[in-house]
Amino acid sequence: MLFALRLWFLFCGQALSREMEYRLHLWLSFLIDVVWYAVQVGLFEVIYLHTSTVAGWTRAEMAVFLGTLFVVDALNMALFSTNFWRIPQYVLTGELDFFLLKPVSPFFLVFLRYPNVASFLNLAVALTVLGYGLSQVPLPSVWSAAVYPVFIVNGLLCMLSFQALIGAIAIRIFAAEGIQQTFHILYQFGMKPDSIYTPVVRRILLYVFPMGLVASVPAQVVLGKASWELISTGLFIPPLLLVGSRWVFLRALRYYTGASA
Amino acid sequence: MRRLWVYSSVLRLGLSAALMYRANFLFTAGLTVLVGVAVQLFLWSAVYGWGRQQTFASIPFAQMALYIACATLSLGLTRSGRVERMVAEEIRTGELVRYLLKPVGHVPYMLSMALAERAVTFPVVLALALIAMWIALPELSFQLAIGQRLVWAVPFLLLGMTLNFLMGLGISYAAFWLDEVWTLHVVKDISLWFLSGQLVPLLLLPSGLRQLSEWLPFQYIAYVPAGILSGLIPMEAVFVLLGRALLWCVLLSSLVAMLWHVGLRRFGAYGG
Repeated sequence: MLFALRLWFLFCGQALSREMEYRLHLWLSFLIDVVWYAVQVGLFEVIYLHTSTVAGWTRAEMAVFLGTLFVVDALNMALFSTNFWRIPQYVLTGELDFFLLKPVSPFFLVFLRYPNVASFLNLAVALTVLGYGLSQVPLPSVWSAAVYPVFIVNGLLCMLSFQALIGAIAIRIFAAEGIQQTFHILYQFGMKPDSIYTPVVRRILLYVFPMGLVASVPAQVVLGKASWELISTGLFIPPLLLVGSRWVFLRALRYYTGASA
Repeated sequence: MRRLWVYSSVLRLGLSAALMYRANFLFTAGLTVLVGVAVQLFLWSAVYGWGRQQTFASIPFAQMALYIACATLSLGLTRSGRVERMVAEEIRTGELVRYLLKPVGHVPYMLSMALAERAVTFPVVLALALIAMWIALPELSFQLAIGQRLVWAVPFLLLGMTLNFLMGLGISYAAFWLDEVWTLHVVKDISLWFLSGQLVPLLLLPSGLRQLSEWLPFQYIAYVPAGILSGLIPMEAVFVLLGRALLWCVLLSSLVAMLWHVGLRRFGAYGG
């Protein structure tokens, strides 16, 4: 574990050196997510000009939801997303061979080899939005505040799990860009509070395709609005999902035949 | 006349290229539009309190739902595609010389290719808009002349497509000066979700921002076509909007042509 952590810091150092060579690219990458945050905030700001609540969420509570979404998204972008998009390239060029030969878990290398430095800057913006939201609502209870980071991590685990499942498909088929885009298309369901959906869709977003666990459940936990069902689902499903998706990903690697030879 | 024949050949070639990956393209584009519309409709249903609230900012739910569906379809159709983005890569790698040696203008060549790329989705978008109108019509309290509105939406969709194409090409021409313009394309596309009115009708913006949006070109990409189709924009306003959209086309075309000429002086391709 300590070895993996040391290795990851080494990857971060390399990523930082690369980004420092192309500083304009670093700032433009940072700008992309800032614009995305602005668009999401802008949508709700316009809606709240004409109403006081949306599906039981006040403007301040929505700021907490958006802050949570941005934090999970920034962490995902910083840690896993760049690596996820590289999977088809690893398969096509045979670069995956080198990951399999190294004395480290291939799952760790495939999903953490290339950290995204710009997204660490975005994390600061995301935390600012979250801080603003939390300053506008009553103070959370000690219990809510204590478990909130666990739910954030679990939201991140959900994102990693879906990317691992799609990554497994990408290993089996060669032109996987379309499949990878599917993840980002379906991720839109997680970008809104789960209470806007009908009960059936909400169940699907909790148990079948748990995008509701990415930001909606953590935000409800810190706001003290989460039921015991949501809390238990948010605590236990993401680790199980990760174990399952890691198993599927490692099984898919057995079908990888290499392309560099 | 000869030039017209050349560009119609380019259009045909582009159409063949676009149809080559039609299954993948239609799946991704179709899923993007369907999920986009679904999530937006869930959100706006919640805003209307699932039927408890008849209107929101004086807009009935059926009209808002129709607007959201048409705006998402419209942005899906007019969004910048592979063609414009490819130009930046061609400038970077020096492959642009292929066009410089041919007796064709680069902008009209790319416009023909871009039109071909969008031609695949154009009938699908119009058919889906028609279905959305047909579903929403019985719910609307006012008379919506479908035929007239569809006829007026078509030129605005074409103008929106052209404006988005020109913005995309302008960004790609920045590759004459910058190593990396991919991120600028992404920034533009994300900004357009809001600026074009896809996420929220521009008439709901605070008055200052709304007035500003009326003078900018982004509204022609989604808000105006969707506003005409859903009845949010009165038919009396279309002539003024048409004039402004054409003016923006002329302005952006001139800007893109200027970028091309200035940029070309800096361009250097090396190798055999």
